[in-house]
Amino acid sequence: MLLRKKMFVEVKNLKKDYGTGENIIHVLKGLNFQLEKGEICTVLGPSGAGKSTLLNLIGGIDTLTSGEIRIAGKLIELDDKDGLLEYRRDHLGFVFQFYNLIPDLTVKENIEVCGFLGKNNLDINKLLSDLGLKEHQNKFPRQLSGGQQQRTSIGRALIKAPTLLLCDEPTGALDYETSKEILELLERVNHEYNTTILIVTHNEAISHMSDRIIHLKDGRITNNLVNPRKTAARDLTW
Amino acid sequence: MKNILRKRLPRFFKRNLGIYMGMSLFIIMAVVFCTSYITANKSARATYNKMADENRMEDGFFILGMKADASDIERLLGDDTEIAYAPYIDLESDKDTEIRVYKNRTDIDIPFVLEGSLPKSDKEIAIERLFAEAQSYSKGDHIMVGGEYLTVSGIIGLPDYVISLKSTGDLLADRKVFGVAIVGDGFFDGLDESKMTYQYIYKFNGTPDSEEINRKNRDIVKKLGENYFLTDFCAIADNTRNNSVVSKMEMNINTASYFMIFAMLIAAFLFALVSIHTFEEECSFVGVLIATGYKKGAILKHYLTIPFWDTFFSSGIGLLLGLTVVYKIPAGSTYNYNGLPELEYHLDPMLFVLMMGGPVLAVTVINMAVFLKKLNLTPLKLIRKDIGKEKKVKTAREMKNVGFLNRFRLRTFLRNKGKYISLVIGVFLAGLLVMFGLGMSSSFDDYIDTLPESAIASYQYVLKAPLQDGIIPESAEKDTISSYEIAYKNRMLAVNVIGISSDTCYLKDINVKSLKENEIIISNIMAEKLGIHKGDVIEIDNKLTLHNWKPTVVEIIDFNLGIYAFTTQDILNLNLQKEPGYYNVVFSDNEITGIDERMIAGSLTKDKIADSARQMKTLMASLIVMLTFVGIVCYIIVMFMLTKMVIDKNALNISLLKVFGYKNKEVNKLYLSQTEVIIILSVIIFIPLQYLLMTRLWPNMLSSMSGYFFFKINPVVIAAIVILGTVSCLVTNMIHVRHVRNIEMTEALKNRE
Repeated sequence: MLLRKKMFVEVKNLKKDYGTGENIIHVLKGLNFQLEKGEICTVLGPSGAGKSTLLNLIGGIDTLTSGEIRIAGKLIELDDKDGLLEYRRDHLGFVFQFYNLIPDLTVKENIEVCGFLGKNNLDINKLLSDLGLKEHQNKFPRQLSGGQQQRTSIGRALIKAPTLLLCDEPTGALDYETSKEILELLERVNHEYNTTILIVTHNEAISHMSDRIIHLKDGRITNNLVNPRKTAARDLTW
Repeated sequence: MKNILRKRLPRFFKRNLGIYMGMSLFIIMAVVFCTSYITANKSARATYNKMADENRMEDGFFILGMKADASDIERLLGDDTEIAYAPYIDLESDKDTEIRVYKNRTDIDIPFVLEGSLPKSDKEIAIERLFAEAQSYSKGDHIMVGGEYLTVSGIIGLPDYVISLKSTGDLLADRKVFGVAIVGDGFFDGLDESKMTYQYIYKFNGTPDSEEINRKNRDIVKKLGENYFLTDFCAIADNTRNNSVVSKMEMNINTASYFMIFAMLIAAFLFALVSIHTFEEECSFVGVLIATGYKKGAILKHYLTIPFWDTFFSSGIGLLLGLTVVYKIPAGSTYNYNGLPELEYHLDPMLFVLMMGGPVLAVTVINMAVFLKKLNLTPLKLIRKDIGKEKKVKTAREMKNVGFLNRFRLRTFLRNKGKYISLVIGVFLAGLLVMFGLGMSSSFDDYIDTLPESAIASYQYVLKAPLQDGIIPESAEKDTISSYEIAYKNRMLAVNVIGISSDTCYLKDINVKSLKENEIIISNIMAEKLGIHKGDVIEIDNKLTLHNWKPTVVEIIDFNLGIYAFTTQDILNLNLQKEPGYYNVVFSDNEITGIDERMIAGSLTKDKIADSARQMKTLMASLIVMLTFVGIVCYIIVMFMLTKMVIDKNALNISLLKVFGYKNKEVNKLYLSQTEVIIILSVIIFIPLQYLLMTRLWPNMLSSMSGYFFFKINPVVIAAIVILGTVSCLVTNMIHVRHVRNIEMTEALKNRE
């Protein structure tokens, strides 16, 4: 008997429409894929393919039209607002293209914003050191470079030790060198904490560091590949 | 290109509907209130002036001890003074009332007929409108006057009895017990002459200015004093039957103007905040416009359009409502209390300039100032939203011993201190409006409560001359009182000077015994109203004897009855050239029944004093109610707008927290409760400061009043201000929170670019 591997993320026939009647837009047209625990998955696709919508649905910040999403075997009920809140609170970490740091708070405090919610938080001082932010911990976002800001945002996502890290174009606003730094950091997080990471990006090169590559076009998966030869983030070029 | 920007305007307006609606409502309320009050009172004043002109209102009256020939007096006073003999008799009438009857007057103080006609026979009587209303008399009714039944031939008004006070010294016009009427000549001639008061009315020819009038009045007093037994003299400017009407109109206009100044100050402050708020939201877009070649002028015009038209239409609506509908409320109140002819609508063109031009100009100037300064920044800075001052951002100090929640709140507060300071200033200014409204009411209440207590005795009789021994009981106190005048803001204000007898029992707390001839003690009301301090030398002139006196104020005492000054009876008698022992006022806690009515120039009881204060409040009720209402509504609007602006700034952060999994309760703890705490604390902390400011402004607000009362707020007002502040803050926050909760989390993420 073939032993079925336990999947961490399961997406089944996921559909998302915007608008109604004649103005309806089918953004996601029935997606099916699965991710194992500890996988890095890159979702590639042109603008308008539905990448961010997929991320928002998995992140529980948008409602789906039909289909289902299971995380660690548990169905994500998108109508259950309290359940969603707990889900985001306990399992998810978000990393955004434009960092979304709170300008009024210092680096350390921005990380603590999510630490406040966590039950089994990582040690913040160790995390700051790991992220290379120790000496910047009392600076405000305005005083940081783009890379430092993105590292802060990753720290904010990691502090509560999420099981799933969702990254929306995490290097989209960064230069080449800084982008690589951030990707190395994500790789390290994946190794050290066994965090499942879903990265949405335009940048095909990033896919080479991931375990799974999903190509999305016009709301459909055109390719779902397991990457047999992962490239270390530091060796990526584009 | 231009059309594209124009197309954006309705959407922009819709997006900021809350703020613009708030602004509109605020402007409409303020303009409606001020326009209606100013229009109503200016209409009343115009009607009064027209009546004074057409009905030849007297320039003054005097009463002689015995009948004299009017033409003789005219000869004595000179060609430029027209004299008319206008004697009257007070007669008993139905319902325990007293009617003062006059013959018809054709030269001076000509009555105006509102319904029916003047009496055509000796069996007819024409009665004053407000007395008729109070007694429910109408044309054709038969009433008993002086033992005879007369038919009411008409309802009239008399220029010299706009407020029908029995005596000019009275505080109260009680139409339930006293009225004025015109009777037929035959009926009047048949009345008992011994009860007649020999009153003469006079009018100056030409149009002398106030200084000339003063000089002429002094001249009349001097000549009459030398040739006749002058028992009373009163120039129209000092006549409370007329001048209290004018002063109340002035006070209403003053109050409305002060309110408008406050409101404009708040509006200007709100305009500035709104335009800064708009710019902060829009600066990236502005940067893009400049970068793509838009001229600064076009951008300025674009951002001025909505505030300009919003203000223009709001002021217009307010002005229109005030001029056409709402003015009827204060106008009605004025007409119902004052014996004026039907109010003639008086439109002051200046109102258009002030009520429309003021707000529109303010919004234009403030927006231009905010935008022009910011438009000078480079497009890049604008696009990056780098619009703050060029100051180096310092690394924050770590707050080690402070919990995360408090640290979060503290940081948010410190980084948003500009917004919070604006919020606090707004709370202060808006609170001032509420205190203005509520304080006016509580000050009247306090006045009503304390005035009777401050009466010298339960009964006060002002006599025309000292009485024979034996009439005044031993327990009563016999002092001297005389009316002086003091210059105040281009006019003369009456000061009652009391000469206290050496064996005083009612005024023993006032230490006049050690006073020298050139020293005086004044009431705190007089000191506050006129801004007099201890040690000041004041100059006062006696109205009847023309005695000029320049005493030094040696003490200011608590005496709430009005503008009073005190000296010894001996000094005052000397000043009035009266013999030692002369007195003309009696204070007693028991009613004195044996005094001949004809010897009483005026009487006052504690009840009358309380009634007069109550009546004054009734008269001003519509102003007080409207002022309070408008103040409260404006307060809520300001609260709504200010909290909206603070919460709007943090709206995206709040949405972000929701993305991370924060519960609404937790978000409230981080962002909203501190706004609430700051508002509520400001509301409470500012009360003493607002009170202090109001007490400083108060004397100016009451400058048109001949009397004065203190600005007082009681615990109810304080509680009301705190409750109003708290409730409006909580309600507006609730509305904003709901709005923030409705922001889609996905939108929040998109917008953060």
